[in-house]
Amino acid sequence: MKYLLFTVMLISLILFTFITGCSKSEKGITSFEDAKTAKLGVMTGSTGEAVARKKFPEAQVNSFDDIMDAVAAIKSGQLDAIITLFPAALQVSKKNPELRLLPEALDKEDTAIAIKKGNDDLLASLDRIISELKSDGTLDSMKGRWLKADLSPYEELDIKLPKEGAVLRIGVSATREPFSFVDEHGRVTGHDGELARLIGARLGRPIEFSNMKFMALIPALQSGKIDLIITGMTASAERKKSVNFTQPYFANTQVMIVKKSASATAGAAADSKTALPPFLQSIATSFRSNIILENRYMLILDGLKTTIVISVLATILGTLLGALVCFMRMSKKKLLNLPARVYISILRGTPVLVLLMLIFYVVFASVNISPVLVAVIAFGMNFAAYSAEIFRTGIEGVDRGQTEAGISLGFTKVTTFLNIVLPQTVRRILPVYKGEFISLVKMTSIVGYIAVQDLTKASDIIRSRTFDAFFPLVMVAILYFLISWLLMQSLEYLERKTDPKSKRSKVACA
Amino acid sequence: MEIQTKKEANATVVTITGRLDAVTAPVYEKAVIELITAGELKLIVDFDALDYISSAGLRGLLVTAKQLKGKGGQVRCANVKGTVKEVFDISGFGSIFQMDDSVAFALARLA
Amino acid sequence: MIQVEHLSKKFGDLVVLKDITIEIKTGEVIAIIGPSGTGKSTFLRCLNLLDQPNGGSIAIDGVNILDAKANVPKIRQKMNMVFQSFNLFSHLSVMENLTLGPIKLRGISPKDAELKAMELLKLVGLAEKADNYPDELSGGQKQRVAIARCLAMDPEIILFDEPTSALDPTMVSEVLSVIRRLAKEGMTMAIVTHEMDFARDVANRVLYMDEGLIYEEGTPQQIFETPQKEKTQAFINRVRSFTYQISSPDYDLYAMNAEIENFCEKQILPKKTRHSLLLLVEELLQIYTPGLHGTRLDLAIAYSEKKETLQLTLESSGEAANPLESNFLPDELGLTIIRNLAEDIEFQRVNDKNRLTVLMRKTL
Repeated sequence: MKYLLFTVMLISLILFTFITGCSKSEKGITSFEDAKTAKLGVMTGSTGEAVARKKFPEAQVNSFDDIMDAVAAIKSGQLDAIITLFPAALQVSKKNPELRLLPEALDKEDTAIAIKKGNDDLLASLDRIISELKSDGTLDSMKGRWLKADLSPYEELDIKLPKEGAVLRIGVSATREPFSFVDEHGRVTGHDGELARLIGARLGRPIEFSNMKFMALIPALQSGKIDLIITGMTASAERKKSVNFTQPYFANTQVMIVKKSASATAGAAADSKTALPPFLQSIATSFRSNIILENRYMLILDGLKTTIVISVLATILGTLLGALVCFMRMSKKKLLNLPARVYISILRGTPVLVLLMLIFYVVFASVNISPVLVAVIAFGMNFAAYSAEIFRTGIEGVDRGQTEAGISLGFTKVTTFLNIVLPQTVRRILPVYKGEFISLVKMTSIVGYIAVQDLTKASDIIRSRTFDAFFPLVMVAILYFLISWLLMQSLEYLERKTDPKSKRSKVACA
Repeated sequence: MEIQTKKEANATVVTITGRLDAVTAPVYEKAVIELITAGELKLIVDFDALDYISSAGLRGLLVTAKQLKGKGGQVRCANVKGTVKEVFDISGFGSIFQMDDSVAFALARLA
Repeated sequence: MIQVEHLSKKFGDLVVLKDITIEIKTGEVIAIIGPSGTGKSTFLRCLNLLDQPNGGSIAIDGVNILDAKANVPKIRQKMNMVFQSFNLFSHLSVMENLTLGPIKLRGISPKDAELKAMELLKLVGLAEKADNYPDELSGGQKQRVAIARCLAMDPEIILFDEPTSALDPTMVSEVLSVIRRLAKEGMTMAIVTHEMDFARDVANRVLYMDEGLIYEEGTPQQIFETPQKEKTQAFINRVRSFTYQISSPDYDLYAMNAEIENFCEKQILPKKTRHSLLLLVEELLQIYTPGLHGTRLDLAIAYSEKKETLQLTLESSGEAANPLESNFLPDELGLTIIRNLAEDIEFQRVNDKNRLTVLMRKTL
């Protein structure tokens, strides 16, 4: 009990320190000159990363997959500045009063739509549409409505899309407000969301968004999983090698986000110290903005559902497949035994993320398959490799004499296995199996890479809107824990059920 | 086997410890013949610490006894017991040698 | 009932059973004895095909079970096995151990199966343990349950594979008495055992197995009282032997003595006997020593645990001559001692060798 109390206090203390922001404020950066030896955050694979390395060779550059991770880092004092595109930077400064943009731009670049090489007809029509949008002032109007310096609600055009026709699959990384993000209805929206709808309307085709990690977009395009990428992607020379770009629809700049000077933040902080103590108040605020606002809890609930569906289905698939692999592995025939051995060593030696991407982008490249199903297959295959070995050790752990006794009683090999070996194996392997299952649940958190919106992805989306790193993360951590705990309880119940002596103790009680 | 000699007033006591067998009998013979050549004519062999004797050992005893007799000396055996005594009895040595229950008795008899 | 012909079995290159031919008739109780590793258990396991034989035939009630068409599981139901390590199903209660086979394999209703099981548990004296699990029973109790489990299947024959070898000595009798009772009731049984007294009173026929063969068989009387073959005799009399080789007159007497002492210690021979043995060996070797140049002497000491006798055999090459009558002896001392220690001395010329066999007199 004492330990529990201590742990809770420790966690609260850590959270408090994080949420109220790191108190160790260093000398703020006010110009590019100051940033020479600073710690810089950039987006992985972005042009900003190249710019940072070129212009600040002495600086320490850290790459992040998502802007909110970088923001969390600068807020907790691990970074001095972030180099990113203007629209994202604008959003960050809007939502984080303690951060601001340096006025000058570091670099200029063009934002364009990416298309698979060789798809020249589509490219031509897109170029034509962009020209039209430019000349009729639509693009300017969009810029005015989406790239705002204040927090007033966005005004979005109501675009009628056709219901019939060949679906245009659009890849987005909807954690990049105001270009592409997920709104309170769970729709992909933003400047690029609107652009995508406009394009769909003008092409006379219905559209479908595929929301995935930014770095997964180009492979998805190349493998034909999506038709275009509209998500504020810069038409860099590097990317042009692998995909084609339309003419630019937005002239972008790389800018630098820095912390405001200490005095400015202190003022802001002083304002907030009113009724509630700061710790509780920030929790209340975070709860409101991360959960209540825009019905974000729906995102969490949907994500939770997806996580559970993937975990449970992958476990079932993995168990069945594992049983098959185990059967092959234990066979004396080399024809069965060898493939099973190879399967087990390859699957156990491959990171599940790589397996997931391989199955999605290579194996099912040209098949229109639900990413959730891909996730179930990938995790199921991975789980099968582990469960096959668990089953094997479990079965081999049953004394040979048990089988011999069954056979000499007149059971066949199969009925001996079912009546005698299997019940003993189940009891034996449950503890290990339980652990493997729990780690599978946690492992599913990487499905965001293939555009599955699970619990972790839901928290990513919320973080990308609120730039509050800690509340959604802690909440998701608690949810994962709860899922694991509940599943663990049910397995433990099963474990008690299969213990033969439990039957008797119940009789004794009765 | 170990041989110890102790000079008493009227005789020399030879104590044999361990085994008197084919391997050790020659050693015993040599040691006792040295004593005889040095002029010791009255010997008492103490068997108290002897565990084992074989025909080879008996032969060694016989050889030394004959040498002494030739020079007018005499030998007495003390503390012959247990398995060693059985071998003495089997081979008839019990009647050939003069036996005493202890070294003190043997010394008294020699006096 | 069971007709075995020219049965053979090997594990890899190791030939365990060479050629076994035997017939077991209904109502017979067969005890299979013999040294460890001579294929007794393998023979039993081949009978119900737990080990697949490499050759020969096994016919049960006229049906060859090695035939690919034979319904082996069905045949095994008539021929149950009791194992050295009990092999009770550890996830099932005693009652369930007894009812599993009858319910699943013979289609007996659970109620009838339980009634029958209870009866059998009473027979082996374990009715009160019906609801216990195997790990709550002692070894003897486990084995009695295992026997009851076999009986629950109404077998025509029970194969016992060293049923008491894994038991504490205190628990052996409870298991043997159950088997004795079955024998009285006319159950057909084949029992591999090391319990000689038990084998003698329970069996109608005893098989002595050695060298992968049924080396000698007969009634208990024949095998235990008047075994005909050398190995059977050695086994029945529980003969342990020690051999030593001497090829020079300068052999190390003390090294040899140490080995003999060691051997005696293993057989727990009294100190007096050890002394006499060492003396006898030394005296015998003394006689041999002058003639040891260029010849070889093999010394063997055999101790029969059952008869409590020690027998020395000395074999030497060279011209035919009884060494005890040689002219090399300086005196009669050694010979006197030998004659005194020996009960019986025999000289033979065997395989161009001089063999002297000396039976040592029992020391009191």
